[in-house]
Amino acid sequence: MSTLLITIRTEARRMLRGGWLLPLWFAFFVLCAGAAWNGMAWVEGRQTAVASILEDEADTHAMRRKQLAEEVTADNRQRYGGALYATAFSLRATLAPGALAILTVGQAEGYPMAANISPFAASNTIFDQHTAGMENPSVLAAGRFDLAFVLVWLLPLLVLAGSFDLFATERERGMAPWLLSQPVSPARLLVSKALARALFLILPLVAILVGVLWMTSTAGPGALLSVAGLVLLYGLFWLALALLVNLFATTAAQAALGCLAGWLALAVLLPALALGVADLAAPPSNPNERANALRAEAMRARAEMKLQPTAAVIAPGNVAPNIPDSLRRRAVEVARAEILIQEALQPYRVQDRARQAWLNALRTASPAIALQDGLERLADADAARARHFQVEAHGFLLQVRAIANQYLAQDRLLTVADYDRGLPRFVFRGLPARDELFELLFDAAVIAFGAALLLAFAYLRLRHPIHLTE
Amino acid sequence: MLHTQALTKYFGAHCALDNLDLHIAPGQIFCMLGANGAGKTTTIKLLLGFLTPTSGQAFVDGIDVALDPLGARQRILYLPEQVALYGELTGLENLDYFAGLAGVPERSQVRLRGWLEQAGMPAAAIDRRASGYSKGMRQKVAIALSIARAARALLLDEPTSGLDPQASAEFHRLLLCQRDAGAAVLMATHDLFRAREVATTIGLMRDGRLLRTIPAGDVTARELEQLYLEEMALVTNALPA
Amino acid sequence: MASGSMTPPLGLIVRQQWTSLLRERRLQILGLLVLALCALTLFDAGRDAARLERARLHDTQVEQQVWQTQGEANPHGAAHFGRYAYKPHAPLAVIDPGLQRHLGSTVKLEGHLQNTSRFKATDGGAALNRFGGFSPAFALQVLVPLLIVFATFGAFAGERARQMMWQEIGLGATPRQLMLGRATAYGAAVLLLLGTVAVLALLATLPAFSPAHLAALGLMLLGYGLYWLAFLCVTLAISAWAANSRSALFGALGFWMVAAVLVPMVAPALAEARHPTPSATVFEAGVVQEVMKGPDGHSPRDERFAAFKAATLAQYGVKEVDDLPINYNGLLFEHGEKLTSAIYNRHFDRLYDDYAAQVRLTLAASAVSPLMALRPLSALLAQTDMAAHRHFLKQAEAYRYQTVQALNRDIKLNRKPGHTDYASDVSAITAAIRFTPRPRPFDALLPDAWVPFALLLAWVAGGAVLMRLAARRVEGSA
Repeated sequence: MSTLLITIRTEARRMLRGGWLLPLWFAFFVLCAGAAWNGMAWVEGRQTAVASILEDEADTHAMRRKQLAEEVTADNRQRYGGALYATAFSLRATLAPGALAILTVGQAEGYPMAANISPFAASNTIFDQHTAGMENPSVLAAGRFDLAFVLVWLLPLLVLAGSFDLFATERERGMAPWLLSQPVSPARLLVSKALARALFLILPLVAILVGVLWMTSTAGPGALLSVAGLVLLYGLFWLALALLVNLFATTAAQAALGCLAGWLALAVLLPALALGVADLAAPPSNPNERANALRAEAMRARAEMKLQPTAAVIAPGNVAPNIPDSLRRRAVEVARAEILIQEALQPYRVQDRARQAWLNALRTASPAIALQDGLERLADADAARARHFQVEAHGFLLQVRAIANQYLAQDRLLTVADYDRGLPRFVFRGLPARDELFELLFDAAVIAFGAALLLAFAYLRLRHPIHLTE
Repeated sequence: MLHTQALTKYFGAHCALDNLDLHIAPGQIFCMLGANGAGKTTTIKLLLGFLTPTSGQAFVDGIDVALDPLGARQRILYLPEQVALYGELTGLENLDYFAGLAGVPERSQVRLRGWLEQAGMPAAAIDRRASGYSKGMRQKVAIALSIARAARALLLDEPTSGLDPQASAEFHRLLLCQRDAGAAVLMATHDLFRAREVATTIGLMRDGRLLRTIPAGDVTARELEQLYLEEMALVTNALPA
Repeated sequence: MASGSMTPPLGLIVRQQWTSLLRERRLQILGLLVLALCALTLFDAGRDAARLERARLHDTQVEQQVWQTQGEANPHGAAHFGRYAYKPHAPLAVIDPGLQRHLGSTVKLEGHLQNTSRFKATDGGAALNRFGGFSPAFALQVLVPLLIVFATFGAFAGERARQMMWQEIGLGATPRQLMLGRATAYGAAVLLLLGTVAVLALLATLPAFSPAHLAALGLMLLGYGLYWLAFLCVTLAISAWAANSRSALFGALGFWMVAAVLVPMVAPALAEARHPTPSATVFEAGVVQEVMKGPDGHSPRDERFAAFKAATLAQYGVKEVDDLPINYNGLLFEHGEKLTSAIYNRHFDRLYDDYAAQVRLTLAASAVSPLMALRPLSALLAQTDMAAHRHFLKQAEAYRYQTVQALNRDIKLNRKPGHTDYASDVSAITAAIRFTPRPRPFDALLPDAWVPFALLLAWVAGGAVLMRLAARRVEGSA
């Protein structure tokens, strides 16, 4: 135990006197603050966009309610179909950013954040208006400077900068034989040095991150602890890499080169390679092909309907229905079209699901990917949430269609009371908390496994510590 | 205290140490003389457990080094040719660290200073950062560590190389104090004259073999030099003119 | 001090440094690794480009077939049904995909609307996609400078390098010659790398050989060469200035981190904060607002259309719409389309002006990072930048406008009053209108290229000045 304590104390002294520790903490704080500021701006933009969409919905409802209350009469009803017919519902489904959204943009810009829900809208078009953004592609291409970037790519560099010479300097200066001639095992000595780095380098960085998040987000302690835990594990992974490199490098320059090569391999090349593998094994479906297939299906359906006009569905006992029969015919066409759309989309869905499974599985290729995935989940900016939103929005569409069909069957018009009671509203439920927790734990396990693997190699190397004295 | 039995080390086909039998009792100083590559450093590394012997054994205070290297090092203080310290720490802090690693209990400021002063460290230098230390001062820290650890055996590898005559003389004075305290000392050196002055026994090594051992009192410095050159000349005579 | 020898030592220094470089095993491995990565990414990108081009041709064919299967249809309904235009792949995108992954390759062309491009490569991904974008350009812009850092940080600062330097000074070399000698030797290595990359790039873009293509590729490689030379000059200066090899390595790595990683990421974000662009919802709302209420917000659409109706009736000398010799709805669609297109064009012009302001600001960041000058130059010559995309969008918009107006014209001229189920052969109406997008001509690229080139030359010149100053320091320490 005394070896541990004396080494930690000595290393702490050395780190502080080296004059780099405090500037490193400060540099990390500046990076986190800048990234958080960026994140806040993005979240604000998103929230404004979502509010604007909901405001648009509310304005439409208010306008229609006003029309019903003040303008609609028995004679001019046919001009106010938008206000009167449930088939003209103009609703919105939105996906608001999460409490920790400042962590990362994640996949939020690769998926629609809202849907236009109206009973007769084709289900494959409800996201069209919210798919393309107006962000400068140069900004997107440069990569978002968010906290995830700082944590996934820059934090390792800071940890490596502070620990690349864990033992290499001693070896370079010829201190290693004298140091190791003391009655202390090399493994214990190196682990103590690494522990000092963990306590005085990694823990403070994690604390800075949590502090910045606490000041700039509305996340609760549980979420903050999850972020802290993941990032701590990740920092320890890179510390383990530095330790392993120092068991081979004989000079500080060699150790720096080895650590940088490790960073390049694990944070840049390996993930890019993994993505290449995913592209080969499970390429994404061709969206142009999908669009053309749907259009061809729409043409086919239209031709079918021309040959077999749909019979009118009239409410029983109603000679002059409130709602025109054309809308009932349209409802039947829409229901038929829905079946055709789902059939047409099925093969593309299967292909895309296979791709998602590959992308998900390949996060085991590198702890960097696992951390990015974990951060996206904690920020509610992950692909699973976005896809689940699309599923829920589609479900909401079907629900609204069912309501509209009920109104059609009852030949019932909307009233002011209906507007006052509140029209159907979309509420996003999200994935079950249990599933989310499992995925987060999986990410943590990938990082922990990576660290354990490095430590295992280090252990094997330390079984023959003689080379450390050369 | 320090004992080797047919200690042999091969690096591939090259024999670095060939059947070394050595016995250094407490209170004795054994000086190994020899050219570079004679096997002096290999012997030291084997005694430290940095290398495993190809055959034979090395013992420190009865402990087989190969089986219990940590136990052996508990009893040894090694002094390399270049004593490197952590430049950011003072001499006192360096001593505290190394003594702590060695398990020396009760390392109060008073005791640490006492050890350093005993080793001849000027008081003004004790609280200065080691980055400004000369080689001699760094060596004094190592000697202070030896005092603190009350090491039973000292392994010294060219300890006076690069020291000025005064520092060298001071070092040898301290070495004799350690000997008088009962330490067994193995010193690898090129300094024939100093070896003659401090050693109990002198060993001449060449090509991994201990050619002869000579009680230091049985030869003068001049005679020792002659013997050394004769042994080395057997090599130079074999070289082409 | 000068020796008695009359032979200037510069050639000797160059030869010595060159030999030392070639024998440095660490660098050999790194250099081969970077080249292998370049080759791998080039040929993978080439293969992918061929696949995408085949897909584009297939999609174009299928889209045409879908349009034709409409047969007899309401032309206005057909205008809403719309068409799709697919962006051709730029040959040099193989080297620098630029903004391609973040720009859609497909545009939906429909009546009343000007859509942005859709189906970006970054859509529908997962966490792993954040690590995408490992292109030849990344290797050339980020990894090669890193290789230069590792090759040169010890050129003056390492122990062995210092010893060699004192020997050279002993032979009569001045510090300026020492610096020049090293710069020449390392510069030759950089040019060798450039030559190898040039050969690889030519092979990867073989199908696109043309004078314009070769000229663009040549200019692009020249840009990369200047960029690498700038890095070389700066890192040699750092090596000469540093007290030891460790601080030289950290200094050079720090420069690389700032210039090749941080500034290229932070500068566009800062530029966006300075010149923010509206979200899609706000943009669309702005267009709709102007459509409904006029450009000043006080000219409601109803009033404008009432005025148009009155003017039309007066022009044809009739009192009722049904008395017009043409279909009024068709005329209104035509007029409305013209107005809406003009409104969209104005809003998009403003948006692209904002983008351009952001680009100018990021170009200013080239004061801190030469990559901020190279990146836009490389994307410009590869025709994967915003200007090239806008060029495509303008051609697509012209095609859209012609197609939609042809359909509106058909209604105007052929739909009879009271004919509610009017249908026409929409394919025949639009058969003569073809979409054949062309890339920007090479000479249109040159005016946008000279500023980045000037900035890169300034960096090389600045680097040379730094080397000169650092050489004086070497002289001082000698």
